[in-house]
Amino acid sequence: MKPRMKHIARNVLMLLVCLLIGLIIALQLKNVQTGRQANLVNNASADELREMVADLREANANLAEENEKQKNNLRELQNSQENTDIRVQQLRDEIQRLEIFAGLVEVQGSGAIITITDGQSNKVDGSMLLTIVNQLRAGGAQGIAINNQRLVAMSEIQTTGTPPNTNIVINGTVAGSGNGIYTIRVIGDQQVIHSTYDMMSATINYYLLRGIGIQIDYLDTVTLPALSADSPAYRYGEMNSTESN
Amino acid sequence: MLKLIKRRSCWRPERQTPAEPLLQPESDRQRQQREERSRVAYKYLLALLLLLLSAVLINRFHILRNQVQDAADVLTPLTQLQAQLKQEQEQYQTLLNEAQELARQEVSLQDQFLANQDLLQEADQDLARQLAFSRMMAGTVEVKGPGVTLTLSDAEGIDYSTATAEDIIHDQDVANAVNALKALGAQAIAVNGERLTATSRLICNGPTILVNRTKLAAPFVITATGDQAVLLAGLKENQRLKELKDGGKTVRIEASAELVIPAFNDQALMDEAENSLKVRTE
Repeated sequence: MKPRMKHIARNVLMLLVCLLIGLIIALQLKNVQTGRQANLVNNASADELREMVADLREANANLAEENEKQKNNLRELQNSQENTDIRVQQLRDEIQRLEIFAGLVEVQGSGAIITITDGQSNKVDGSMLLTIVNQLRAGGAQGIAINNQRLVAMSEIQTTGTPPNTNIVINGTVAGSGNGIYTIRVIGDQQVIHSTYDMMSATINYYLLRGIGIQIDYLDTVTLPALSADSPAYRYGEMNSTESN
Repeated sequence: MLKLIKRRSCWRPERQTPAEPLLQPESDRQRQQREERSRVAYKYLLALLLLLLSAVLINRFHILRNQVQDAADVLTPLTQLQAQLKQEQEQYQTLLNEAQELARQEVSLQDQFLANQDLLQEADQDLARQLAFSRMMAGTVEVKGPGVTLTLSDAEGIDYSTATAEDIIHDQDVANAVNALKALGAQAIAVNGERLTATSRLICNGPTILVNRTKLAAPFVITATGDQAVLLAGLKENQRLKELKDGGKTVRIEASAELVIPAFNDQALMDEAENSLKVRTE
């Protein structure tokens, strides 16, 4: 019996050694694989970092240039400190620049008009217009108006009422007097508007399938009205600017 | 053996030598020899396996060392890039501070001039009011006052490797919240300190949201000044915010006694608008 036990012990030992080797080889293969994956991940983040550095470099160069311009501007202001006429003119220029940016004056430029109309059973809702406006801004739109309401910093696009009697309110006014036709006028680079519009095709098709009409026309001259003086945004702005003075 | 016997032509008595058994019980000596052989074979086999094991182990060690080396090779440029990034970020902050300081100087120069009212003709007396109004509407002036702080964030403690689109806050959610604040009559709004203007984009950019030219990550802190009671009540009633909250996302609405909404000061973006929008001359 004794030699037999010894025999079994030997076989078991051999089996264990074999198992150990097998295990190590298997582990090794697996490690090589994950090692490759880990390297890929690291390379991706290195590329990302490189891109971030490049982006920041560009932003820094632009900002440095802007600051130089602004310093010159300040020097001019200081030099003309005594000359009232020049100072008044400079102020007027600055006010006009702000008014253009803020949407307080009527402006013209090249761009597009997007016309959206209610379908038979589906109405256009505010969030749809909001999405389109946001996309247009992302595409570098410099000025936008919907149905003669200029969109300024504090303009809202709100759906009011209960379905099916809903309305879209913009700048405190029912857009298009509730006729279901919405005209988005946009001034900006036409090529960029075009590619933005193409990128929205999935959204647009979704609405087209629901019977809502969407059409875009590119025009060399698009006119945007000034923010109307009776809109809440205008009134609040006036109130707050006199308060802070 | 029996067949053989039968075929024999002549019969002879069977040999008396006892037939050798086919399997003889092995002698002790034989057993010892066999066991000796088996022991030797076992030893060689074991030695061979151990050799293989050590070869594999050595190989494994080499691979490990290579991997450590590879990791170091990958990490070195990464740390360099990190350092570069930090440097550029610091420079950006310095330039941004400088830009803000310059803007402040310009404002104070203009205000100084306007304060000296006797220099101005009667027709120009209105300039101060116009300037204050257009600055407010353009968003180029800091606004201080009571308001609300709305914080939107992804579901708390989510695992981003398994998170679905439903677990995170999207650009649409922030855009809707901002639009709701505008509808409630907010004076000035900022998202993570980025002042919103007439041309502000608010759009998804990979895992971040791009506002103006800045990439913002969650949590999105939307600050708005205005009629605090109206803003608070309106946000609490907001259906979309309720849906976000029910979906497990973080939605925090707080009253803030003294908010500071920073001024918009991106001259390049303002130049872009000025260049493409031509004032209509009647």
